[in-house]
Amino acid sequence: MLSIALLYFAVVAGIGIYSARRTRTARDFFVAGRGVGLVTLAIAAMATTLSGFTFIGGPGLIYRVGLGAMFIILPAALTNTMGAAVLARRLRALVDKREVFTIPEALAARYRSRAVQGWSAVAILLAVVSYMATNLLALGLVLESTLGLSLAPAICVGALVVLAYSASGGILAGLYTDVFQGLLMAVASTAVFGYALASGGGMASMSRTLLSEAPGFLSPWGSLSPLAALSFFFVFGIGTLGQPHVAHKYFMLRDASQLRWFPTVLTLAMTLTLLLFVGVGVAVKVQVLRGVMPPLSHPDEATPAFLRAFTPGPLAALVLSAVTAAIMSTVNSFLSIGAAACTRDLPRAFGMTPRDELRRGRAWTVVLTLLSLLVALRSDTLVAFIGIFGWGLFASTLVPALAIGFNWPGATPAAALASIVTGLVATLSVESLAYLGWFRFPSGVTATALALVLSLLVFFVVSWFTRETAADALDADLRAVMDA
Amino acid sequence: MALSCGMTAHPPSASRDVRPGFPPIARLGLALVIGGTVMVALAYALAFAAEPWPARSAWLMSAAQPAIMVGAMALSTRGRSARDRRWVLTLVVVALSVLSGLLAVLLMPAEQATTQLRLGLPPRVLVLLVLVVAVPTVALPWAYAKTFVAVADGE
Repeated sequence: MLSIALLYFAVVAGIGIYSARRTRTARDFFVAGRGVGLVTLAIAAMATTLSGFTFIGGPGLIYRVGLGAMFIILPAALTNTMGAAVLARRLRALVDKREVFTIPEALAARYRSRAVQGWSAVAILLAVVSYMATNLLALGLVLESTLGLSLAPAICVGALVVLAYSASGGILAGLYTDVFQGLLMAVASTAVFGYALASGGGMASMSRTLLSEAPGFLSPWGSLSPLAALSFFFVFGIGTLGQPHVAHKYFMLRDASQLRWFPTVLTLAMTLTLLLFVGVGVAVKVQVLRGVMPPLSHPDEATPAFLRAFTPGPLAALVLSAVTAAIMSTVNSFLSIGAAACTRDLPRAFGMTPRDELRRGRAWTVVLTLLSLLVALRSDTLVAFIGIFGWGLFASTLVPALAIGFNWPGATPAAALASIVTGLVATLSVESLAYLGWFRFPSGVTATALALVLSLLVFFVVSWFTRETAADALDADLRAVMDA
Repeated sequence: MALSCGMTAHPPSASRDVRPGFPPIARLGLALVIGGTVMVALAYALAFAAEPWPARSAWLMSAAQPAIMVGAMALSTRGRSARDRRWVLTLVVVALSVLSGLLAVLLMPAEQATTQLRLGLPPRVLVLLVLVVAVPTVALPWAYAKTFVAVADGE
């Protein structure tokens, strides 16, 4: 186990050194020189989208609430093509017209507004630090179990490895490691799914055990209410259009015509990788009901417990490497967009011209890592609190202005700004009220979904009230981008 | 706030074209996205108004999901793709498939120990996997690739 983990880190370090030698400009550092091919883009997008939750938290959630947890991943059947149609095509066309490196820059170009650029950068920075902190904590937990370190040093080791290749090689290093890590994730997940089916004697045998012992588990909603499961579908469906670490990758594609096969490749990779999410959760539940495995003390133990009991050692090591891979690829992407927000977006929002971007980009990468590391080393309670709004903050602040705004000429700068601020305020306030216990949501309603729907409504309403300004906010080249 | 004070308007651009080039399918897509968003808001408003949440909330949410997601894809359709029947037809089929899949799961009887399995799965799970997962997974990437018009070749 230890030797495979060390081999994995050696490969990642090698990729970092190779990428650092090829990173000479800010364009290389932030958008990989815009020289990325189809397969690299698709695998990297998949690896970035999926975090450690796919391998640890997801199977644990299936074990705990049944098939209702599938509603987190079911939207992937639509989101892969939706992302290509709604975002990839527009953002790739934009970089042919403008020198754009970041999502806030794209929004500034779309709405001719520095305020929109600045506020979206603030939202991204807040979400990046919180998301990174939870991912570093998860990385620490994995390294704690594989390397035998205690948690704090394990978190520091994980953060240093990601920092080393991110600061030296920027997004280029991230892309190359994403391909390596994404393939690792797909192969390991597919193999584990096979072991999961075999361990339970096939799908029919597993279903019969579940139906006789816990029929509610096999309900499509599991133990969730239909409203709660459908809220997952809503947030993880439309919310994918507001994830800047994924959207940012569309700037990097070398040839726009390659987008033709992007949904196909992404769907294939994503489907294979998500097999573990469902397979392990169901298999562990079956084995617990049959008395083969003891009940889990914590749902997050589902994957490690299954690997120990039912898979060969090398495959278990491969999966744990895949978990590490998923976390590290996500953290690297966050570092890239966070550093870009500090280096380019916030200075420009205040009317300043960014200078020496490569050096400053690397410096901000270090600062953001240290900041997230400090948060991750704080109490679990704090990390859990800040971690819950990362995805929601991205979704509620960026889906309307970015995904709708780049496809609807009637969207206005005032609406974009209002929706970003609404998403920011709603997510932070509603999540805080819920966390502090000062407000209790009705069953099935989540703070994230509420903030997302509020921000969408504000976007449409303000666009309608300010509709006479829509035409003035759209330059001719942006009109061409939206007609592409 | 300091940010709003420091941020100024973007400098004006030299040329602008404000022609409303918004094809009917994109208009329909926008209507679906707005309609779907309103349905989600209504579903949550009903849930806040009555505890436990009323069944109407789940019906509204089921209808809202395909409306918003397929609506977003329709909203993004431009140029030759907007006149390509294969893409438009695929969006219609996927919307109906997801809608009927979610509604069927709400309508069909719950699982019991005596439930007959189909392909190793309870009927509701099989319906969900076929209509909400398999149909979009196969149809959307295929239709997107078949009707793709390269940006450079766009109209």
